[in-house]
Amino acid sequence: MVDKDILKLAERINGYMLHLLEEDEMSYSEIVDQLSEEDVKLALLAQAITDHLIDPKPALYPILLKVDEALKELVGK
Amino acid sequence: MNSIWEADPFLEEIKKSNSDLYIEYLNELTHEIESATDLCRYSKTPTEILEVITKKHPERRSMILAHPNCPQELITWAIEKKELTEAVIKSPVRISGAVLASLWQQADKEERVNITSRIDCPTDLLMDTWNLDYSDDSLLLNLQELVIGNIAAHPNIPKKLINELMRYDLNIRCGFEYRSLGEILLNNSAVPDEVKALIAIQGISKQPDSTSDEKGDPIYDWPSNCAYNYKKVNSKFREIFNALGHPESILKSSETITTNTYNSEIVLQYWAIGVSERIYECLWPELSNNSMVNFFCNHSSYDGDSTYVGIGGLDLSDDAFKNQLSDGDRQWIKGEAILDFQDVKEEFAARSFNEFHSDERSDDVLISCAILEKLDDELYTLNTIGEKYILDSGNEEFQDNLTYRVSVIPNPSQDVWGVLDSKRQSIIMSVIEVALQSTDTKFLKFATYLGVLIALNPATTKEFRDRLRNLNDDLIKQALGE
Repeated sequence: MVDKDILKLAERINGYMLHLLEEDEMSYSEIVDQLSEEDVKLALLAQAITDHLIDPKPALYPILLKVDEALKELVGK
Repeated sequence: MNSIWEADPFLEEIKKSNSDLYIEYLNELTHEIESATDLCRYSKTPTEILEVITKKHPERRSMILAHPNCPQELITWAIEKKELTEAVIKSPVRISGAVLASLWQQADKEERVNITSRIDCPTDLLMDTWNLDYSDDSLLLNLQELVIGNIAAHPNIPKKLINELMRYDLNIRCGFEYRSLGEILLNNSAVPDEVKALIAIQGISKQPDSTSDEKGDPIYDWPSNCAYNYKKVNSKFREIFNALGHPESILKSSETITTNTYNSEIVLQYWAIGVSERIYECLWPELSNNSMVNFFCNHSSYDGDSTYVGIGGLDLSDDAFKNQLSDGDRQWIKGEAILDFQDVKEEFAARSFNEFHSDERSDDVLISCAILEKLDDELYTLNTIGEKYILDSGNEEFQDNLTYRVSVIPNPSQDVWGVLDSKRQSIIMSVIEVALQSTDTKFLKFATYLGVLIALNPATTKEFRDRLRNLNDDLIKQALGE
């Protein structure tokens, strides 16, 4: 059973990624340029969480929180 | 040895020795659409046979129009009925000026421009096409560029148009080959020397004609093969071709082998370019019993499909040792192009995330790659849904250029080497022996390859092992275990 908080966080990250890819028509490479390769990999893990492909451990939460912040800033630009 | 055949040696042999039989055979092939199609592809099929095919198989009219012996009646019919205009324009057959004029009248502008590429296009049609309005040309369809190129290269170019073209920038690219106007004019023998001198002054020089070395399409399918490929063809023709030493007669035990000598070069080339799979169906299956031997299949969108033999300790990596067969529909080559989870992990590990996102791979691939790359950080565990997801995306992503093991089993319609009688085995050996004297590297290598396969075959008798030994080829000796 995936923790509700991390699932919620993952869904929010997915929303930011969707915004960047579809509304801002950015490519993954452009997002990598703006953030980092590591952040984009972690953002993709958020998608893996909501698709129930992986079972996250608590240690992932604070890491995803940082990605969430970075994405929020990028979307707001 | 040429890499393609100019003509079917067995059919041409019959034509020389018995013209009635030759026509009888060709008529036999006109009955079925498949064999008739093979005749349409063969440049030496006579007009009278093409006339028969035109009537029996109207759906092949377009192919016949492309044939150098196309009947004039078909061209007249197509023009009268306003059918197959494009095929008529491209037809290699000479068409009279009057007939071309009537074709030109009914053609649209693009077709009229294409008519000027015909060597028999008369001067007045060149002028008329030149005078058409090209103001609606677009970037994608620039007919004026084409007509300039066609007319500049034409042997019937009117003097008036030569003068006209000389007012153009001679460096503009035009025509189907997109060469400079000056170059095209220099290559045209109808352009006077004094005009050519003026072109040369502008620093343009004559370039070799790129079309002069062009040959026709390769002939991989001889009409004589139809006697073996199509069951409805009267079996007496197979006997006739068998007696002439057709390669198909060697490997199939139900066919009669000739007492005359087989032409080694023709037979080896027939096997080497993969016209028939019989040689592989014959020499491969028994090798499966050898634990040193593995068969592999490779699917590549760039190189095509190929199946090949891998033998521990022997270097058979040369392209000449790979055929163009895939496991596809073949019942005698079995294998599955599926990667297991470990294979997929290895394929992902061999590339980087950066590579995948730069190449704009699918979301599935990027997510799979991210999951695998971060897996060791112990921030999550991969569940069975995730494993299946990665497995599927990996198989989709790495399908191209995938090499995997296949098994080769005997095909019931082809005797394997060990079952062939010694006469047939001896013919195969003779083909190899003669080919190993060849100076053509490609066929020399292929002969070596066949020798290796026979050397590795547990059913090869002492007599043939001795013959192989006497060939003095290092690779064959290695295969013999020496």
